[in-house]
This record gives sequence, structure tokens and C-alpha cells, in this order.
Amino acid sequence: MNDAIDDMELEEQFRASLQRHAEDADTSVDLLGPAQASARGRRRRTWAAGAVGLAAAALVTAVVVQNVGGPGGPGKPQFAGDEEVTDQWRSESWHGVELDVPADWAWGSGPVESGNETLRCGGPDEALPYVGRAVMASDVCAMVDEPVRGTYVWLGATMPAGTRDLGGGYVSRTVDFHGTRITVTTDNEALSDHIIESLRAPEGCAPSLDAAPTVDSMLTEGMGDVTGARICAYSRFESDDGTYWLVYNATLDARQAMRYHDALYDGTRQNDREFCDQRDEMVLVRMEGTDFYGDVPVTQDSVVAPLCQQWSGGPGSVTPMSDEAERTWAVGGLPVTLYALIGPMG
Amino acid sequence: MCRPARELCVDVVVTDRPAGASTFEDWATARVPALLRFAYLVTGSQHAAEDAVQEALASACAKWDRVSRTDDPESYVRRMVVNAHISGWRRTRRESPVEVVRDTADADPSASVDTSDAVWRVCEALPRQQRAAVVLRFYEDLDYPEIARILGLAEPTVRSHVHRALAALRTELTQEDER
Repeated sequence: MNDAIDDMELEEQFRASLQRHAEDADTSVDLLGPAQASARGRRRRTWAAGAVGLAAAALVTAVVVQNVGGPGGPGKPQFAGDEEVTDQWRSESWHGVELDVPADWAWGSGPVESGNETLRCGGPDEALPYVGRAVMASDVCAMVDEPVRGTYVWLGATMPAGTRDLGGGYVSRTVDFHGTRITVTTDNEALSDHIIESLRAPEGCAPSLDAAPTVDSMLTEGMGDVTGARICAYSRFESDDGTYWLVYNATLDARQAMRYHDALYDGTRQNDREFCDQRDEMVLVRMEGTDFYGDVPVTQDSVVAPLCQQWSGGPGSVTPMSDEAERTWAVGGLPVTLYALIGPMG
Repeated sequence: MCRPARELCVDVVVTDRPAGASTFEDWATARVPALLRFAYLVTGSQHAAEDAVQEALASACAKWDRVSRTDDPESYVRRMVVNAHISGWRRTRRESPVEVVRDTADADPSASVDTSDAVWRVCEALPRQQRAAVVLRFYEDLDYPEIARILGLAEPTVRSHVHRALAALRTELTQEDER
């Protein structure tokens, strides 16, 4: 019976069996009341966490991101300091996971595996709340056996799952989500709850790509007004099978998006036809706006290959990025996420 | 129902939903049985299914004003159920959920039941994400783009998950034939 079974027959067997087993579920249990009670507690925690975020925003007027070089130079204020952040929370993505953190947190490095050791290479120190990705952002490293006191989220750090009391009111919680490890450390339980409860699959960007992103079409008349943009940064450095993993995402408002747009479309036109071979990191930029006449919403994709310092705005069109354009373009968490922007170490 | 819950989760009227399902309470009451069956297939356990659905409902309730405006609230809740299970982390009510052995007195050793059991064995052996893909495809009858959206995966990855599950079932049936 076996070899003769085609996929369609197997599919039917799956359908019939699942339908039969679904009837085994006891559907008489009352879940509504407990769910509503849980929602009330959740709402209270969210309000508490919101109050914490507002207080922090009032105290922090300019957040300085890590001192790890990159096009912006050491200590260059990034989005959270020199841009107007209107949202209280921002989303952060890493290897199939997305979560929310207070919008004024810095970006930096988190622990990475190196041989048999777990190292943290690069800042910031624990004086600032930050999001640390499993990236080596400096050649100066410290061994990390366990979470330390501070307020941060580590994305992809291989800490053991569980909860640790670090003393002084600080608690570190490490959880697995879609196979990616997340560590949240803070002395504020409501904040920790909010971050962990926000864990989800990425929503604005594909969590992974089987191949480097490409731009398949372009607007013949260009874009009129730019109203926003979405940035999806991918890397295959930590991938065994060549999969590009989403390592960073950002949503830009109109002003930020226009700056991005101008940095890419700066008048330079030198058709290289294809990217260089260093395509381990690729960034998809989706501009949103209106058409040239201003009455039809349109989007325009661009792909940047930071290691090549090139970008593509349409099929068969690859253009070098000037240093000035890249400095303008590589902001937010990108300079401490992409090795192309972290630059050579040692 | 208690007053705070009503304040949080009801009185949101959405015109494009079926009559009688305009509040969280109405919607959840109508959909919980189907969600439990879905969660049971995804988790393979009554207790885990209850935990996953309750967690998803709590999340949907807290955000009902936003969730109810989506085209398909059930899709949102299904995604929460799957995420809760795949993550392997949630505040379970039990330290070690015990598999519930349902009454199978009506089962007989006919070929169709053998095949059904083979399918269930294959499902139990699948990684959580792959199992969720199979349930969404063959129980919920969703297309691949929709499954990819719910699971947060690339569409080819979903196709690969389903293809491998079919291959696993073929192998299981082959071995059963040889026994």
C-alpha cells in the first residue's frame, strides 16, 4: 500500500485522523472566566510598566548608544536621543523573535558563544538600560557566566532558562521562544512581565529568508511624498544552512524615512548590475508614501548590501553608497547589529 | 460577569462580525470549543490545550478593542495558541502536565483506525512548529501563506514542514505494513 500512496491520499488521511482526534478534546471546560481574570491582572501590570516607561522618558533626555565605532563614531547619539520618539515602546527583532522594550533604551551587544566560553564583547555597561544582541561589537571581551545586575534584554544569549534572583531587587528571567533564548533583567517586575508577555513572532518583517532579498520592481516616476518606512535587516553569519535571519527591524516616521530616502537616492547613479560577493548581511528598506502626483499610496523597496556598500533600487540596478550616505543611513540599532557597520576589530 | 471584566472586554461593536458575536464574551463563548479542539491537536494534551487557549484568550481580552477590529480575530487567537505552545514557556497551572488518555472505547482495530493512530503517532513525533503547520493545513484547511503568517515563517519553510510530515506518515505506514 505504501509506495502507491500519493501525497493526496496521505493528506486525506491526515484530515480524517485530525478530525477524529479533535473530537477527543473536552470542550466543556470554563476558560472564559479565568481568562478574563488573567486579563485584568495583565492590564494592571501594563499600566504599571507604562508608568515606569514614562518616568524613564522624563529623566532621560538623550540616550547615548554604545561606544563601538561604526559610521556614527563613538558615542554618537542615535534615534532615541536625536530623534523624536513618539512611541513609548519600540519593537526589537532577533532570529524569529520580536518583543517590546521602552523606546528610550540603548542598543548594544549581549553575550555570544565563542568556543566553550560565553563572552560579552562591547558595551554599553549596565548603567544604561539597553537591548544587547549576540554580536561581537568589540575585540575587548569579558567572560559572562550568568546575568549581572542591570536593566537590559539579551537577545540570543545562551543563558540557562529559568529565573535568577541577583540580589538588590534585580531578577533575571531567561526563556526560550521559537528556539531563541531571551534574557530579561531588571529590578521592576511589571517591566519584566510586559517585555516577556510581548514576545511574538516578527510582524512587520519576514523572520527569515531563504535567499538574499531582491527588488523586483520599481516606480517608473519615483515617489512623491515619503510618509514612513520599514527596515528589515538580515544576517546569515550565524546560519548553518544559509538562511538569512532577521536581526533588526525599525519603523521610521516621515522625517526619518525621508532622511533614509535622501541618503539612498542621493543622485549617485553608477550601475554595477550586481552586488559584490559579500552578501552575508542584507537590509530591506520599504518606503511608504504617495506617487509622484500625490494621490495614490505606493511603496518602494530597496535592498542594501552593507558589506558591499552598495544598494539596489530596482532589477539590474546596483549603486555604490557614498560614505556620507552610509553615515546618514546607518542609524538606530544598525551600527551595533551589522558587522559591516561595526567595522574591523583588533 | 464581574464589572472590571466587562469594562475591559465587552461593549466593542464590530459590524463585520456575525450577529451575536459583537463582544469578547459572546465571541469567546462561541469560539472556545473550536479553539480547544485546535489546541488539543496542536499540543496533544487536554491540559496543555486548556492552558494555551486560556492564555490566548486572556491576551485577546486585554487587547479586545484592537483585536476585534482585525478581519479575523480567530486567526489572532490561533496564533497566540500556537505561540504559547511553541515557546514552551507560559505560566502553567501544573508543574508537569499529564497526558490525558481519552476514552477510546469506540475504537476498533479496523484499518481506518490503524491509519488514524499512525497519523496521531506521526503528529506526536513531530517538532512543535511542524506539528502546528500540519494542524493548520489539514485541520484548519488554511493555505500556505496564511500558515506562514500565523507561524511567523517563510512560506517555503511551511511547505517543507508539511512535506516532511507527509513523508513521515508514508514511512510510518510502510513500517506498519511490514510488521
